[in-house]
Amino acid sequence: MIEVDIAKSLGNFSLDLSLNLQKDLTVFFGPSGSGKSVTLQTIAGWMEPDSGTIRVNGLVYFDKRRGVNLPIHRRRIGYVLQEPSLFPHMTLFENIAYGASGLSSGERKRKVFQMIERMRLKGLENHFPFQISGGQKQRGALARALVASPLLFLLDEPFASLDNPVREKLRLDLLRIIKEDNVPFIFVTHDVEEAFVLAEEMVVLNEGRVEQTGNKEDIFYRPQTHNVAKFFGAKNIFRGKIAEIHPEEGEMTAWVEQKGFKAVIPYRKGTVVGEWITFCIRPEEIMILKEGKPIKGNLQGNVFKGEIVRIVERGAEHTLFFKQGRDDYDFEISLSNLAYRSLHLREGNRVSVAFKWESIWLIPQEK
Amino acid sequence: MEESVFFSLRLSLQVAAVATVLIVLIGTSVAYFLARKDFRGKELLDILLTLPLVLPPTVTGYYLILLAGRNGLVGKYIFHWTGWNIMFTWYAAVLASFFVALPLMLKTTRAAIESVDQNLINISYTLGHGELKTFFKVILPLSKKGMVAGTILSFARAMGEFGATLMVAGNIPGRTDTMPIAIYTSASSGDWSTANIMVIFFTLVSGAFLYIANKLSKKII
Repeated sequence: MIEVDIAKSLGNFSLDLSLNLQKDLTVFFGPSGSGKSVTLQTIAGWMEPDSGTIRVNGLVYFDKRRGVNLPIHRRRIGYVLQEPSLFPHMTLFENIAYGASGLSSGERKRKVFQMIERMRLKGLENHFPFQISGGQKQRGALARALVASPLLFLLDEPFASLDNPVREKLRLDLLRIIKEDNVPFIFVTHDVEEAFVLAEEMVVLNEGRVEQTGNKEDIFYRPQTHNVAKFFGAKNIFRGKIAEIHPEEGEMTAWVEQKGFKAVIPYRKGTVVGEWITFCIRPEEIMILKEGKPIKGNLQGNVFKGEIVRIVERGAEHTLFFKQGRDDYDFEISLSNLAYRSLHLREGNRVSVAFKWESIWLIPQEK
Repeated sequence: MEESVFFSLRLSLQVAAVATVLIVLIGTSVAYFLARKDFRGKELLDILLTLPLVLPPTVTGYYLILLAGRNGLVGKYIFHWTGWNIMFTWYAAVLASFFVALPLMLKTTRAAIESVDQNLINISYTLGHGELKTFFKVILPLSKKGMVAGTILSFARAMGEFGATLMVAGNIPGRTDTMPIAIYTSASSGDWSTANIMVIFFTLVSGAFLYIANKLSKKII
């Protein structure tokens, strides 16, 4: 269990957060400059917060008021950085052995070779860092940190500078280690897919503050702030003024001024007419209606007629930009290639789009 | 004549070697603190130790007299307790060479230590190793280049030391006349033949030293 309650000022940037992490794998997600690395550095002891406390499994690492600041080498933390940080003047074996101090030389050798096998590095023991690839270097850094039997593992975008197939393989390696070793991990990334593959729990950071914590589904489908919605690609985020409320039916109508349309959205208790609200619909949740094919389910009249103004191929999917009003475009729609092909669409086509009731998410009011 | 020439040569090498050993040990430690710690008076210390690089050697020698002479700040206590004074001994020559060549070691070593990636140092701490271990296992090996350069420069400077040495060690034949001083003495008294021999010897020895130093440093680095 990791408790972090700190504040830190660095020039223009200020960090202020309070976290209570219980899961085995927590992902810190956020844009560059949001404070993810700084937070990790304070947990590891590389940087001292201005105030607050840090506790790991009950052990006090830092307590400003009581004057406690455990030195780095006593914190038993594993740390892997984005930049390869193997010692350039030591072989891979020596690097990994560096973490295994306090053992007899025979015991150390055994442990190091065991780790080399585990991290698929066999045969590279006597190589220097400049002789091995990026992926191998990062596996080496992981091995070195693991061999020291840390109580907590911190990874700061460790796979960011590697190419995709290598990244994916390393993520699986990581998940395997977590399962086998039972060490809590904090993994920092600004890659949505990576966050999703790894997270049991996610902490979304922005400008030194926590925007939201929760599991993947909560963050993705029920973003609590505009920023979180934006970071995870909610794309169709609208600000509207409430025109009518029908609490008995559980619905209300919002007029989206900028786009010139009205939408029927789920009623939120306490909302009054004239109030401004924000709601979002994920691009993959918007449906393109086929001529003559009725849609099952609850559309609540959220059907719009308009034109496909632009189509962008994105490899495994297509993004379509739909316009129904004065603005350049109103909805961003995501279709799998299969769905796209079956619709035979072209730029300029006139279509009807709709979204289901369950796809609408009302973003809670910003404090 | 040959005896005195050989003596001067041997003395120069001895003084330079001893001074260099002291410079490497003390210089590296001081450079580490200057590179990695913050403390009151840090910049003042840096300036004081670097001054001999800028000041004329005779001025440095003068300060050393004020410090280590019979009535000097430190010298008078030593004389009071032991009846011994450093002036006009070969130890004084070492003292002079030490202060004059130290800044060269300090500057190069400090820069070398400062250029070691802070991340690597932090990682070493994170892996459970304290400051001392990290210094010997990570910082030192990665600063080797700068330290070797500093050592070579210091030795060279110590070998060629003249002004400060003259002030504190004097020019006692067979006792404190290092080669640069002996050459000066011979030349100023018109003994060109002795001077010529000493100059040739000294140049050859210095050249050989540089050659060996270059070869060795390639091996170490």
